[in-house]
Amino acid sequence: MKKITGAAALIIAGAVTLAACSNTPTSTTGSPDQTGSGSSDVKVAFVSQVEGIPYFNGFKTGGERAAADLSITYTQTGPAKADSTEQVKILDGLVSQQYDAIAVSPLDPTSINSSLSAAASAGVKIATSDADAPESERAVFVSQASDEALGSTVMDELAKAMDGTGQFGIVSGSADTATFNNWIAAAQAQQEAEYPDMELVGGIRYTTDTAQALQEAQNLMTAFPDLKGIIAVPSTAIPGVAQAVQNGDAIGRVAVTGFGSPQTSGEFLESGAMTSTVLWDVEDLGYLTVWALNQLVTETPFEATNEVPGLDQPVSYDEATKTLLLGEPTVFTKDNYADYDF
Amino acid sequence: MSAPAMTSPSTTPSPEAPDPSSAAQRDARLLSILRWIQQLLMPVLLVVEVILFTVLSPHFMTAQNWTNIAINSADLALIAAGLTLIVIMAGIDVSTGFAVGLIGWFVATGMADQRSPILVLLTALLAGAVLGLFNGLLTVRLAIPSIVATLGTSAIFQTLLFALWNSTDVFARPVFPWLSGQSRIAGFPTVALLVIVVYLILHVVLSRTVYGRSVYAIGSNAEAAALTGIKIGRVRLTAYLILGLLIGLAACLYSARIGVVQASSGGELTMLVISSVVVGGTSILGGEGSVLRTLGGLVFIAVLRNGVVLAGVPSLWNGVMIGVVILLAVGINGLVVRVSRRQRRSLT
Repeated sequence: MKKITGAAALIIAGAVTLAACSNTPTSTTGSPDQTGSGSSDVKVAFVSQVEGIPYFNGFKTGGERAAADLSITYTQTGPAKADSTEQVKILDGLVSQQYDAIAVSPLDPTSINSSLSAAASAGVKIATSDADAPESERAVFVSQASDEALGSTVMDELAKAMDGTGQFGIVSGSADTATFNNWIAAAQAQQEAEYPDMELVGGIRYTTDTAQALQEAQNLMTAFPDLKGIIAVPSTAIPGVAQAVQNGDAIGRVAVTGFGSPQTSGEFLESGAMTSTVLWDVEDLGYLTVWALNQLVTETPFEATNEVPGLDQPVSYDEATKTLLLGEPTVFTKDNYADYDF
Repeated sequence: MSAPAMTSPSTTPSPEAPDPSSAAQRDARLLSILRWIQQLLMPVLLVVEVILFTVLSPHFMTAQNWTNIAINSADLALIAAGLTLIVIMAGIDVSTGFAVGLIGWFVATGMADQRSPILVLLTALLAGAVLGLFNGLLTVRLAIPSIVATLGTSAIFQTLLFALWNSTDVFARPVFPWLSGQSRIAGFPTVALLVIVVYLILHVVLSRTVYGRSVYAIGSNAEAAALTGIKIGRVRLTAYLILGLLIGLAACLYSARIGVVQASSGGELTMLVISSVVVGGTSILGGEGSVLRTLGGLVFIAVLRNGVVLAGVPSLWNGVMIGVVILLAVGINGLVVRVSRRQRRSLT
């Protein structure tokens, strides 16, 4: 009897776990009838990596602006925490709701492939934006700035703060996020090519959240007392690493830079715990993505150089890789971060 | 690395033991060996671990590093102490992490709004008590198995945190200076002393009071405990209340330590807390354990997480090592239960 109750409890527990997983808060920001309800019935959507963080809020602002300009309907949604299986489920849901075009920022480019193929064969135009799934059947990748440019710019910023010499560490996010890995590879390539006197120590530290990033940064500083800089890769690691530098009274001794949004980094740019942060204007990326989705739906081919109404710079298109490139990365410092609200 | 240290005593003595006249005698011997291993597992592992990391990294055995370890695991330690009471009564709580995140949001927001620190601390304790009692009532009054009840509340706490956070990171200051990692008493981090005081109190409660005896009695055999007149429901509820208060206190430490509350805050604590209790050797089946064992398990895990970085081991290995130790601890515990059951059967 006791065994049976135990087994039943386990089954219930399993069921609840499953339920809890599928119930992870999904903020569907802007339901179809809310946002940019325009004259045409074109419905486009974007699946973010984590919905609700300032970065993807900025993306949404730009996307909604484009939807309003183009008179189409735009929906943005995504998992509450960076969970690639959850993201696939959200994508499948959107496909069954018959969107005309969907863009995704894949957390894991491999596991999302079959869903992308299924969507494409169901007649949905598929794009990737912000992060790519190169092996997939996506029609276009809307790239913020090339991974190479971002990685090398961060390394240049770090090198500037460390005078091009000394030990540095890298605190990354989850090990299976392709974007992070590409940035890091580019940063390392830049360091090997340009800054031979700098040395990566402690390997790449993968973390899942702020608390862990704080500990890893603290441990790196303990293990390598001569450490002069840390690159904090995801937006969850930024406050953790900067906090570790503040707690350890290492402001001015250990430079921190990374790929943080200006708002996430603002506090630490002010205190000096962060020297700079490198990203792109995410509102423009959201704008370009929605513009590109509309081009796909109307079956207008991309030119080698595209004038996008609403963006200041022309956008280049690479036929071979089917990539739209927003432009060069932006460096945010204490002096200019306040101009951006993402 | 730690595996050889523990497997050798467990395997060598039993097969070579002199052939006893009866199976019951053999089991009795086996049982005493197993219990002996159970007692020594954690101390031995800790010693091996500390020696290993001291050899591997010159920065490990420094006051600064131990201070870091202590400060970083103080919130974890408080929750693990409370959870130990629940686990001894064969219960569990898998909602502790997001309870910390949820209360942490209130703490951070309260401090950002310039509320009085004492009010923020009391709010945190009250919120912790409410969340704890909620879990307690679900398991005690509605008789929902604790793992199911707390899985449910964990999802609720997480969603509440997500809704309250509403896309805005809350940057937090410490509630009181003495609740931050920077504060020292006679050179020791104040939060570490706070942890020690909590552990001493709970140790005394568990080992010297009627309440403590009731906790063990319920864990060994709830029906028998009820027959002896122990008010099972009240004892369980009190334990959830204690855990809740400790979670409230931990949330203050947590937000001060991390300095920011985000949508995922606290989530990582849940498994670490359970691991600390289980690795420490408190039986997940109930009836056996102590907060001091939990403290051992906690130190083991905290040192491991720190040491692997200092020793330059890729961070994925600490998951493997914690996993192996959990399996060892639970495995030995399972063996003890099996052998003692068999022995009881053969005696009757």
